[in-house]
Amino acid sequence: MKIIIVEGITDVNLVRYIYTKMSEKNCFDDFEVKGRSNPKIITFENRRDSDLRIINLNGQDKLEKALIEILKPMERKIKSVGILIDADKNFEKSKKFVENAIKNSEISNNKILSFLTPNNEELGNLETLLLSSLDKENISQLKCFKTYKECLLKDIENIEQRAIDKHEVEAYIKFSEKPRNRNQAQFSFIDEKGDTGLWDLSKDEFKPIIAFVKLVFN
Amino acid sequence: MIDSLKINEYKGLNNFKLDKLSQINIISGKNNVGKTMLLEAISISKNLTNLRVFKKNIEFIYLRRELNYQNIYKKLSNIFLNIKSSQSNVIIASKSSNSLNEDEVQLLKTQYFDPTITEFLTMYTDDILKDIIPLTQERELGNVTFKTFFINSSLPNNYYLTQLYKSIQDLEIQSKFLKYLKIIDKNIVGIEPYLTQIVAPDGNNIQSTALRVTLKNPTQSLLSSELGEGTNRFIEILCILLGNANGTVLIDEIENGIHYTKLYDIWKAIIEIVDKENIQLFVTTHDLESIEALNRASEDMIFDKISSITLEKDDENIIYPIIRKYTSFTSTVESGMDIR
Repeated sequence: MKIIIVEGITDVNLVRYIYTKMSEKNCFDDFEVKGRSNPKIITFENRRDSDLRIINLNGQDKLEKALIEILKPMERKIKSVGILIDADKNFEKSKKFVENAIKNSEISNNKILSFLTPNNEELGNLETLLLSSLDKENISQLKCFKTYKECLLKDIENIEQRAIDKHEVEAYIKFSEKPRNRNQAQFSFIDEKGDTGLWDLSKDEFKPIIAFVKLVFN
Repeated sequence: MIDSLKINEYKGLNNFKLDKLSQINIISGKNNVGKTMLLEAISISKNLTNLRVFKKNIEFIYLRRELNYQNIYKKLSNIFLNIKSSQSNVIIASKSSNSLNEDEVQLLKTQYFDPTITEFLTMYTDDILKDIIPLTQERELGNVTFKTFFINSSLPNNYYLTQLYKSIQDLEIQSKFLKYLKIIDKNIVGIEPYLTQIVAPDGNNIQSTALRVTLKNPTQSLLSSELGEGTNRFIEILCILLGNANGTVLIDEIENGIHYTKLYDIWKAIIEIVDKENIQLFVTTHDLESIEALNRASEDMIFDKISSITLEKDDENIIYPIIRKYTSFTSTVESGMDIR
């Protein structure tokens, strides 16, 4: 079994999108949800290859629980585990958090890989990665957003960078050519009509995360 | 209670170890992975009073599963079952050789088994030597009361059910039994043994017994065999659970014939009974709905004495268990990670 653990539904759908593109199946239904009780830990199982799973932690605080309670007992059955969480504001702290969870789970180190978004080097999160792949100077709504963002940061105190990033991703999705009446990042990769075309996986910014997904799933 | 179990060379189970066992143990896994085989091994280990009982048990299992049991002792040569509980640590060995002297037995013990073993049983294919060779103490297994029942996956017959129901009558717990039976059909208002006549192949009438079930809406009286498979299975399960306090019960494919909407209430009843009657339960299933129903029932009844055992085969076709204690069991079921 090959498993990628992520912290939210947008990450799940990005991994599904990468897998879809990687396997050239162009079918977003490749993974189906198996768990039933939100907001707990939920598994997505590949329809064609039940050995491929994505686990949505619904919050990175449940990483250690998932490793100890769900994966450790079935370690013998597992070929590889990939942990994909945000680097956030402190890369070393996030890295240590993952390392501790792995250590406490007692799962063999050689079965586990980890990747901190956006690119396993810099600070940030999934939105940082998504925005970095966009040509902001040539996307009208993002040019407008730049002014709006300057205004927000000037007039309102203590705005989290992540909140601004999420807002910017939403603005990009909502006012793009193919908005399909959606503005949430989790629905922006592929929908019932197919590839939304909003994200270009051939961009260099996606290469590290694509390499990570391939490494775990191949 | 069995806390752990080691099985060596019993059919496909080899160097197989189970620990972290609980009061309710749910055994899952794909077809032919060894679920029923594991129940058999537990049944053989637990049903010991002496070696002849052990051999009878093996014969019974082969007969019940319609397997060819001729020369079974040769087929079953070199069995090593090790069952460890809070009361004892017992090895059962079946050797294909005609005899072993004491030195050879000692050698076997040091080679294969740990020093805490209290009994060592040896069966020889020619059955000429003594049944039990106690090595470290004189206590015979017959002094330990183990009541073990194996409910197989097939439909029980009228006569067998009537025999089982006798224990409910003997204990005078018919009303308690009926309360639980109503879970599967609330229209059942009564159940009693019934003397019936059947026509033998030679044309003569012979007397037999059956269970007669009274239903309301509309009022009618039917033999249990005229009711569905699920009802008959549940009657069998209830009779055995309610009639065997402090025993061990093994149920193969619990969901057989039972509608999925009834599984939650059936598990609640089973949890209540095993808890009150101090029964250790081993149940096989490959039904996710049954596992999820057990999870929900246990949560609602705040009952955490549950372990799950998922049998898997590795790349070399060796059977191994994935054992989960309660917290891990619930987390895994709720996450949707496959536990079958």
